[in-house]
Parts: sequence; C-alpha cells; structure tokens
Amino acid sequence: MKRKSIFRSAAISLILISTILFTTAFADKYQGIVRKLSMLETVLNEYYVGDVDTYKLQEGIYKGFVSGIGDAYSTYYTQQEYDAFKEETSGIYTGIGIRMYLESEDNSIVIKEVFDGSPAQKVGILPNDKIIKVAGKNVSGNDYTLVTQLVTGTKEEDVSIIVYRPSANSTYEFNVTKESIAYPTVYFKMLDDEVAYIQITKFEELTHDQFKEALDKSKKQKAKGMVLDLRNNPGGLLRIAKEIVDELIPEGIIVSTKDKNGKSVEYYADNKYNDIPLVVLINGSSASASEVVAGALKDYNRAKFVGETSFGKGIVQTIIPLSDGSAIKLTTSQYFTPSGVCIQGIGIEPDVKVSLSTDKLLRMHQLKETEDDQLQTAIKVLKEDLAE
Amino acid sequence: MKRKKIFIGVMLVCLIGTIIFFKEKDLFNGYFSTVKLQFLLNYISDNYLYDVDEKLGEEGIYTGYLEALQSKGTYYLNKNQLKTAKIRAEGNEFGVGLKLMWGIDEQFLIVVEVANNSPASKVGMRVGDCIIKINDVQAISANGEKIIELINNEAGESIQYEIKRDQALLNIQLTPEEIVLEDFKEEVIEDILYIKFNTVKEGTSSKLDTVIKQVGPENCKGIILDLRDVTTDNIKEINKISDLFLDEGTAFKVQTKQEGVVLYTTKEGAYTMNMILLTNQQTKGGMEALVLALKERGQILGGNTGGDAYLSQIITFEDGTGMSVASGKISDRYGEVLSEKGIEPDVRLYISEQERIAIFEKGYISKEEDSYLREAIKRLKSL
Repeated sequence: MKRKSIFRSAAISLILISTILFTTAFADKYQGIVRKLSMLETVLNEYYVGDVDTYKLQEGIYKGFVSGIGDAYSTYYTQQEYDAFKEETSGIYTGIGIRMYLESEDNSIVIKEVFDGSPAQKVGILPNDKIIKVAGKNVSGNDYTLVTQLVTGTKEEDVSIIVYRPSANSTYEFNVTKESIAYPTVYFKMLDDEVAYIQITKFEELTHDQFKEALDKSKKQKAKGMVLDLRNNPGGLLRIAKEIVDELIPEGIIVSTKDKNGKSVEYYADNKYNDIPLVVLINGSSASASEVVAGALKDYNRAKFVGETSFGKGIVQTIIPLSDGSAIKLTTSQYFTPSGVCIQGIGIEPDVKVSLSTDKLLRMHQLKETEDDQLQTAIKVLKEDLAE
Repeated sequence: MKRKKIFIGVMLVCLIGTIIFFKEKDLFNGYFSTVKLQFLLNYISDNYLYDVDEKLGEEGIYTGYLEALQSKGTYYLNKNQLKTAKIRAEGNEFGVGLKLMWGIDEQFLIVVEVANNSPASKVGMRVGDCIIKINDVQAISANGEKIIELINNEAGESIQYEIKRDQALLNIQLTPEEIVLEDFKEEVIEDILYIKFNTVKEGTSSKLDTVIKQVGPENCKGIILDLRDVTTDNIKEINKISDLFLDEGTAFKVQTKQEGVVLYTTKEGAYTMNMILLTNQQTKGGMEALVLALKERGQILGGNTGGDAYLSQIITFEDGTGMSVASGKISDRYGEVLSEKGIEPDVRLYISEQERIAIFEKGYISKEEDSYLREAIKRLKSL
C-alpha cells in the first residue's frame, strides 16, 4: 500500500514535470516572434493614424503564417471567410439572383444576367439595366464590392434598387426580397437544329446535376453534336469535375492524384456514357477542375479542342476546418491526366488555336455569338466532324 | 497520512511551477495562440506538397499581422524589401527599370515603361516588348507568384528575360541596380507647358520652377500638371510645388500622432497662368495633397483620385528589417479629411475603347491618342 502510493505520486509528478518541460521548449520557440510582434505593436501605437482591431491582427498572424509558405493557393480562412466559402461552393446562396459586371466605359454597374425564377426576375429587373442606387445610396463602378454585398447576404431581407434602363431611357425603382436560390453554373442552348451549346462557369456542388439536366435537354432536342464551353472557368470541386467526365467517357481512369509521400488516389469512370460528338472551348482562364475535364477528354480523344492554351493549374488543395470555426486550405497533391501528365505551369494545348482580338476581349461580356471567333471555329470544327 | 502530505506537497510545487512558467514564457501571449500556430505548423509540414522553409512562415507572421490592418501604407519589410523601400522613399527606384503589365489574356507580360538610364534601357529594351519567360519560368498567370517574385527580385540577382519583339525572340540578361528617376518630363505643346510627373523627390519643386522660368510664364497659354499614375510620401516637396502656384495661405493639413495637426503653408508670390490638373485612380497619397492644395487654383480633369489619405514613413529595426507605417492623414486647408472616394474632378473624362486597346496592344498611349491631354489642351486654348 505504502509503496504503491509513493509510486503513484512519483508518476504524477513525472507527468507534470514533463508537461512543463514540453511547454517550455514550445514557448521558447515563439519568444523571438513575440518580441518582434511587440516591436511592431509599439510602432503602431506611436505612429499609426488608422484604427486597430486586435482580433483582426491575431487572425492576420495565422493568415500570414500560412501565406508565408509562398503558395498562392494555400490560405487561412477566418471563421467568417470560411462560412462565406462554404456557402459559395454549396451552389446555393441568398440574394436577388443577378450577375453583374463593371462597364469601364462609363464606370457603371450593369446587370449581365437575371436568373430564372429569381426574385429579381419576379419584380421585372432586366439584363443590361444599370444599377444607379441601392438601399438609398448612389452607386458607381467604384462601389462594385459594396453593391455585391447589398444584393446578396445570408439574411432574407428587402433591398431597394433603382436601375437605369438604356433601351427605355428611364429609371425604375424596385423593392426586392433576397431569397435562397440555386446558382446556375451550367447554361444550355441550341445554336441551331444540330448543335447544342453547354457552358460550365464553375464546378460547385450542384454543377453535376445541372450538367445532367443540360445533357437531357440536348438529347430531347435531338442535338447531333455539342460545344462544351470551359472558357473563363476557374475550376472548383475536383469531385464534381470527375463526375462530369464520367458522363462523357467510357470505362477507365479519369484522373489520379499524388501527395507529398507519393500516396496516389485514382478515380475511375463507369461504362455508361454519352457519346455525342464534342468540341471543347478552352482559354487561358480555364483552370484547375476545368483542366481535369479537358485533360481527360483530350487523353481519351473524346473531343477536339478550340481556343487557347489553358491556365496550367495541376495541383489540388485540401481544406481542413479547425475547432474554432476557422479553416486552412493547403496545396496537398498534384493531379495527373489519364496519360500520366501533370499540367502545372504548362496547361493544355488546343487542337485549333484561335485568339480573340483585343477589342473583343475587352467587351467579352457583351460579345454576340456571331462575333465570337472561338465559338464560330468550334461550330465549324464540329460540323466538319458531323459531316464525316 | 504522512504519505498524503508528501503527495499534496509535490502536487503544489508542480502547480506553482506551472503557473510561474506560463506567466514567464508567454504561452498565452497577447498576440496569438501558440497551440493554434503549432497546429498549423505541424499540419503544413506533414501535408504541404512542397518543402517548407520555416523562416518564410515566420516572416509571414509579421507580414500578416500588419496586413490585417488593411492599411495600404502599413506593411512589413524584410531586409531586402527595406533596402528597396528606402530607395523608393527618396523618389528613386531599385530594379532593372521595367514597368510591366499582364497581356490581356495573361499569357505574357508587356513592357509599359522603360526608365531612362536603367539596365533595361541600356540594352535597348522598348515599350511594347513582350516577355515570354523569366529565368526559364513561363510568364503566364499560372506562375504568377513565382513571376512576381522574379520581377521584384529583391535580392538583386542577375536575371534572364526571354523577349518577343515583332516576331523575333531575344534573350537578355539584366541585373537590378539603383535607378535615379527623372522627376518629370516637360514639353511645350501649342504654347501650353505640359508637365508629366514621374516621381517626386527633394528638389522637384526647384526644377519645376526653373523650367517655368525658362519657358517664360508670359509666353504660356497655361500649364498642365499631369498627375496620373503618381504617388509620393514626400509631403514637404509637395508643399513646395504647391507654393509655386499659390499665394500666402494654408495649402493643406496633415494629422499625425507625434505632432498633432501640421499646417503646410505657402508664401506670397505665385505663377498666375491658367492651370489644369490631370488625375486618375492612381493619383495617390501626397499627390492628392497637391490636388487638394490646387483644386481652387486650377481645373481638375480626368477621374477621381485614388482616395488614399495616408502618408507613410519607414521605420528600421535593429535586426535589419523594418516596416512602413501610415503615420499621417491628409486633409484640405479647411480640415476636411480626404475621402476614400478620392477627389472628384471638375470635368470627368473616361478612357476611350481605342485607348484601352492601345494600352493592351502597344503598352502605351501616345500623346496624340491621349484623350485627357487633348481635352486639357483644347480647354486651355479656349480660355
């Protein structure tokens, strides 16, 4: 009994002492950093004339530490940023349901698109309307970020908007209620009797379903060939890109990833697929998940490619949420196309290289189908294929 | 009983020891949680695809700490950056003398400016040259981070540029150095003195004074001060420039922590010719103080100024690093702080589509194509 007790207290002491030793080593490592941070803080106290938010400074430390590794794609998300990120990739967001762009000619904010079934459509807002006043505030192109915040948001609330409609040369006032709506990332239309056009703008949670819907529509309309537009698509979820490739290629490997320890993961397609003749449009802003799709379709010889060399992002990020609601996004692996190539810093070459002239690139948003030389070439290439 | 006492004694010693330790070692320091930082470090070193340089993470902490203020004039400077920042604060430049912009599709870089007497001008580089590769890294936006690092080249190494000019490919080796920048370029266009500012440094005002005297103010229909794309922290020199055109009074004010509100005043005697100021979003900081000082003296043409009310200064630390800190806030002579929206021009002008195409295709807008300048000349001639 006596020996056991002494033994026990000795064991506990040992644990405690080793804890202290451990934390000492731990804290020592950061002492230099703390000393330097206090130097920076002193300068701020003595000279800085702006406002200081201590919470933000602390978050800045984690953010800077992660960015400090020197990778453009690795970042730290504060809780607020991570929540916004999750909402964005879910494909569902709260807002009035419009897409805008900045018209640099007169520094105005123009509505490019009004989503089907959205609150904006219900009240009668039209594409090409210029937003001149939001929530009682006059706005110009300088307020683009602010306007974005005002027309979206997590709460379902009302917002008043005044637009100028050039076609009618008059202004209209609307009161719109923000709602949760699915963000369209896939656009479908028939270019003529034979050719279907599908554009994917991003790879989000709902993109696969939206893509399948578009494929169904093209079948119903008896399309003989299809143009798949991946231009200016920055990427998104690898998992979704993989599912979309699966719709288009026969059984086989879609993509594989490899992490720093050489551990590789392979993704395979099943034997069900749509064999409609395909031409894919890519450009320098087709990146990441877009290049996974393009790479697979190219390696299987499933499509011809028109446009310009793609961006060249061949690395994959993983996001780990932390217990306090923040998160870290880190580059953890490379991906390889079915033929085993990593396109990082290289990109994918089109079969037919077509560039747009500078003036067309500058008004990309308002380009008519007939002016879009890349699209016209894609249609031509597809028609030649169909004729064979 | 005795055993229990020993046990409690040992526990107490440990507890007190722990408390003292935590207090002394700042485990819970006022800046960050060491536990969270350690977690991030472990996670990154275990999972990050490439190798990690721990030193960079540490520098990142200071960078991130100051970046969180979201103040354009407040940022951390590592040893190399400090050296460059000091040269810039004097109105000069450290580099190869190239100003670059991404081509419209971000698949190359285009030279938009070559500084006189710079390494780039000495080997004959021209505005409009396209840069395809830097040190064998393709100049495409996918390599953006790496390319920007090579362009900034703070360590001052010699760097290889692969250039496309017309259809020819050229390889050029450039080593950065300190470049003495010209303050401004002057030209008399249709009896109007046109001053295109490039930088502001000690002596800019007296050089400007000399130029005006040489041309003769009585021979001039007016003066155009082109302040587009220029920023400065040299507020004393800005004050002297404003003094050339203003009579006795207050030009503007600067609010600081160290000295409170500082009045910048001008003396009797000024040039009285008609004046037009050209501004855009990139007219910032000290240059905006000049616009505030002269806005009732001349007409402002162009776009809103940048709305950057802060003047910064550089602080050096013992370890050879430093920081820039926004230490002054500009307000006009009535005490109204420069707004974030910038200074509204009297006549708002827009860049035409033709000009935008010219920038992307040639890298510059010629004086003949420059619609802001044309408008300014037209207005001064009709006065």
